[in-house]
Amino acid sequence: MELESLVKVGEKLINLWDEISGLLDSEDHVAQARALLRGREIVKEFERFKTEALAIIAALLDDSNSVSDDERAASLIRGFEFGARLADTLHDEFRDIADGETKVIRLMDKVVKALNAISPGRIRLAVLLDHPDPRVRGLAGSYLIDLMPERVIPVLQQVEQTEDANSAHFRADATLLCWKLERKSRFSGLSA
Amino acid sequence: MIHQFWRLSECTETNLGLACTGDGLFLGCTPLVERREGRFVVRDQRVVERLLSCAYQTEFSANRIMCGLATVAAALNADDSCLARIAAVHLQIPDLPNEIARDDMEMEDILIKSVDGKSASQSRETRKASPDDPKHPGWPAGTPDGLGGKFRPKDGSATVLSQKIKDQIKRRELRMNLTAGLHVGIEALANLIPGAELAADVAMLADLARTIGEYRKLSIEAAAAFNFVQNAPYDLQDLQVSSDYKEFSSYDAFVKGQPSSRFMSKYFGSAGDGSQYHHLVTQGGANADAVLPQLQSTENILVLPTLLHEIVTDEYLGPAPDDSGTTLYQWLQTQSYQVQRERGLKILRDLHILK
Repeated sequence: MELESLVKVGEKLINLWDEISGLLDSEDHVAQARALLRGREIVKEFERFKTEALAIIAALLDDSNSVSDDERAASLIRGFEFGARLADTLHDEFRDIADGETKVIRLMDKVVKALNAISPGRIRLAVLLDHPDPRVRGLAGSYLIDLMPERVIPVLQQVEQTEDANSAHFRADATLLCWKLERKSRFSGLSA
Repeated sequence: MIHQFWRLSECTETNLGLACTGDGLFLGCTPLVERREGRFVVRDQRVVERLLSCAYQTEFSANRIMCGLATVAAALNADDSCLARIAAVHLQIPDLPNEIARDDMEMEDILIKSVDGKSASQSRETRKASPDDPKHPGWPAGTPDGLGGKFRPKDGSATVLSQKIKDQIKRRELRMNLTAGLHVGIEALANLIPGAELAADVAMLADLARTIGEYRKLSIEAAAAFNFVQNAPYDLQDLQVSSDYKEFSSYDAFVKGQPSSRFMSKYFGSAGDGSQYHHLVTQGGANADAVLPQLQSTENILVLPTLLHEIVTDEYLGPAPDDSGTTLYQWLQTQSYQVQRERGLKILRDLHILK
């Protein structure tokens, strides 16, 4: 599934906004209603993409398939990578934070717990600290900062400085603050 | 012969009648007499006529009621609420016909005030913009496209914030479109409009009017936010309601004044149309039960356009960094007041609202 499709839904919403703004003072109720009905179709499209994306990640957590530990770990890491981008797309493009982003991050918690159950554990996520996408680097860092602070802190500082007012920026900032104040990572709460 | 009864109503969100309160005289939720700088004043006659014409869907002359409105204002200024209520009843203003009329009147009022506010801010902007003023930079004289002398955005803040506002608009569109009650299909819609099914028409048009009303409100809030963005980023003092430090016993006291010293204390009223008050250190949750005297103070409470306020508060709704199953908002409230305040300021700086 391509997240670009979800971004395109956002573009449709901005086009709809332009259209409805031009119709606000119109007496043409048919044109207004047509635009609003189109809006409902866009909402359905958005919800469908979101549901499908969440289902993809949830399916990864199903460990009934008999695959090797390495294959399962690789699959979970791919799911984590996708989830990080999905969470931040929902936050940054749609400000779908309380419901969308949070739901995805809760699934990421489960992915990391599943990964941690496979030897050598969640340290396998460290490969993502070099990922070209700052959203992926930042989220991986939030689960690893207690395990390898000397490696993660510079990564998060770099994300915090180079990203601007987006989800990756705010998450890196909050992770660093939590580490400074409480010496905790996102994983600390999961393992408690 | 049926005699018309004239009466006052309670000023609630669902009110359709005339209500006289400590904040003024309201028809539905829209003030006809309002408090300005500590005194009650009657709205301008043209404004009253525009509002009532919108509400009753007929051209309304306010000649008959202006004198009575002045009596209500004078009585409220004299703290004679009894006389104010009697004078209000004598205005003989009928209840609004329905909720749509009330909402339309409220929208009209927001529009009137936003246009007034925009004119005022534009004149301030023209006066302040200058190529040599780092705080209020302007395009130099002779800049193409007629930009000379006009305000120039600083350091990309306007771009970032404008994009945030667009993202927030998308969010609100998703919510509005999701709840829009239009369940009929396009074909049915086109067939219904000419008037074949009167009952269905009315229900559908009510749905349509409500959703278009929500879009209109969003449009006004978007205009207020985009207008605000033109001067961003701000100094903290620019967003505070007063440069004098003052604490209040509650948020209600901040807005309405201290009940114990009604005539002496300073209060700030509503944040203004299209704007809301924002607490740098959040006021709900665990903080509501904590002893934090600075919480309801002129230092902690800022004014932000509604859409930007939503953007800021949304940043607190994400998951906590330590996965305690809570939100960032709840996690922050386990920290000291100073940490919370610094974080609140940092979020505003990161969003390019503050310098």
